[in-house]
This record gives sequence, C-alpha cells and structure tokens, in this order.
Amino acid sequence: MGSVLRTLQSWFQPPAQEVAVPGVPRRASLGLQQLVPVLRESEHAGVVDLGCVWQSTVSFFTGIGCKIYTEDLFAALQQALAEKKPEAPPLARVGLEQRFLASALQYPEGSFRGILVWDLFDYLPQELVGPLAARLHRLLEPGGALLALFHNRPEKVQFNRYRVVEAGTLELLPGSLPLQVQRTFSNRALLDLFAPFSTSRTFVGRDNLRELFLVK
Amino acid sequence: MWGGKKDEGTVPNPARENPTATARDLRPLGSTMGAGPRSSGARLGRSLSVKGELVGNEELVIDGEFEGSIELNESSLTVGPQGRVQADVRAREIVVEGTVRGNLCAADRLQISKSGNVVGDLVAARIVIEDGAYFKGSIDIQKPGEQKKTKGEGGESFRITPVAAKEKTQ
Repeated sequence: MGSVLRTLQSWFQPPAQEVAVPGVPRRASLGLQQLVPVLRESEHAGVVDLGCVWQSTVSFFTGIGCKIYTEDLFAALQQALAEKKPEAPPLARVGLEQRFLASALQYPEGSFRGILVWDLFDYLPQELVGPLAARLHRLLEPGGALLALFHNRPEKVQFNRYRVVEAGTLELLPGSLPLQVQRTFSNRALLDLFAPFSTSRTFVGRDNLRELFLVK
Repeated sequence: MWGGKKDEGTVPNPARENPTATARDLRPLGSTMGAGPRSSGARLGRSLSVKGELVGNEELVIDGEFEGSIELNESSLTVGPQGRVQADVRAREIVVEGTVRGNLCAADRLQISKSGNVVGDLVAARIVIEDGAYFKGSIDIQKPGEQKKTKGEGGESFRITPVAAKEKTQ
C-alpha cells in the first residue's frame, strides 16, 4: 500500500523542469524539425545522441515515444587524442582510428531511426572522418535520418555542447573539452562523404552553422 | 571497466586503501545518518567490497564497492559519491551519485546526480539527469505495468518480472 501511495504521489509531482540558464544562446534548428517526423513514423524509435547527456534532450525524445541512447563521442575523441604519445612519430596516429572506433558505437546494423551527430565531424582528425561516416550510415535503419552540424567559419568557433529544449530549438552551452575545429567542409566534400545516403538537405543559419539532414 | 569520467581523474577506491575493514561498516543508518533519504535501511560502508546477489526490501546506500546483482523491488538504492557498483539493479527508486556499470531498472524514479557516472541501460518511469553527469547507454521510459518491446542490446536481458511469477518459475 505504501509503495502504491508513493508511486501515486510521484505521478502528481510536477515534472522536472529544464532550468533556463540566463545567457545560454538558443537557435532554431530546421534539421531537428525535419528529424522529428521521421522519428514519429516509427513506434518506439531508437535515437542516439553523440553528445553528452542532458535532461532536456532525454525528456524531449522520450516524450515523443523514442528510446534514446547517449554516447559522448566528443569525450571519447578527446580521450583518444590524449592517449597519443607526444614523442610518437606521425605514423603513430594510424592507431587513432582503432582507439576511437574500436569502442565507439558498438551497436548492430540498423539499430537507430535517428542520429544526432552535432558538430562532431568538424573536430575529427581526417583519418576518422570517412570511417565514422560509414559507421553512422550502417547504424541507421532504412528511412532513418541523421542530423549533423558544420561550421562555416571555424576561426570563430567555440566548442559548444548542444541540447534539445523543444522541437526545432537547440541550446548551445560552452563545452570544456579542448577540441579544435580541424577544417571547413565544402559542400562537395559533404556530398562525397555522405554519398550513400538517399536524401540530403542543408540549412544555413545566420550563425554560420550549416545543418545537414540526411536520410538513409 | 571501472574507469571514471573520461575527462576526469579516476574515482578513489577506499576498499583498496583499507582492505581490513570489518562487517560493522554494514549497519543500519538510523543512528548515524540522521533524517533524509538515508535515515532508514542499510549502508555498505566506504571500505567494504562485496560480490554477490543482493535481494531485499529495505533502503540501501552503497558507499563502497559492490559487484553482482541487486533487487530491491519495493525500496530504494542510493549509490553514494564514493560508491562503485558493477551490477544490474532493480529497485523502486535509484539514485546514483557515484559510479555504476550495469543496467538499472527503477519502477518509479531514477536519478543520476552531477557526480554520477553510469554506463548501462536505464529503464524507469521517470528519469532525472543532472547537468554534469556522465552517462553512456540507453534510456527507456516505462510507466508502471507497461512492457514495451525493445530493440537492440539490453532490452531482452533486463525485464521486470513480477515476484510471484518469478517464485513460481524457480
């Protein structure tokens, strides 16, 4: 009886609210708006967030019936880069792919309906770009979609974390990882990189952030 | 396996620092912890390291190390800031302030505090994750009495089985 009462009390408590942080910039995300209907097409769709875990992101996706996975590949990348011995010759970076990808995203093919990549590709060393793109394509189920962000002006980029606050709206929070943007992807480079995808749409914001929405 | 947050140092291991701890560290909380969520039930002290299957129906706080499985179907589990758990856990409520490797299933509420570090699959009616927490795995919301079909790893291996049904099958 006590447990039933506790459970009932918990259900009538107000849900945990995302605390609005003063000064945290928000931006509209047309890519996210495109992704949500794709997720709704599938019952209990799996979506993986490659950033760090945020309550608001979890609440949003579980609220629309998704099962959300979180795997912070930004932190994994930073760890893989930190493991590189400074005295090692450049060829030692060949092992970076193994260090980073061997433990990352170990899921069966077609596990996800949606993937939130954020701006991870901008921070990847070149040898990881192609293998990660291929792995993301493999992890998506047919008809699933991927949202990735790319900076047009890397010289002005501050490392940010992204969290979903509502459909089509992101919050950008300063991150603490010492990652640096490695390059600017041209549209041609992105088309080549994601050639296996059937559909791609690009949205460019006033903040010089390109959103790439891809459907497998 | 027991690594701390990837961008931070490792979590201290009191059990290794004091391997001579005794069972008196596993004691009721009422006389030592005062009011609040830790005011009743049992506590696994910081210097204790336990392996095995833990089944019960009282509040439990783990500040030491535990490896195995935990079932507290009508009670709550708190993994303290120094606690390190490698186990699948089922409880009414789970609060993680320390490190957990394993699947967590809370009939009611599951909370990962900002100091929490969890790798595993989470199933709960309500989930609260504080900013700064580290989490790797999946999150599935299941209302009481609801049994969703899940895809991928973890879904099949961690189901809520009614106690009565479980007893009949054993």
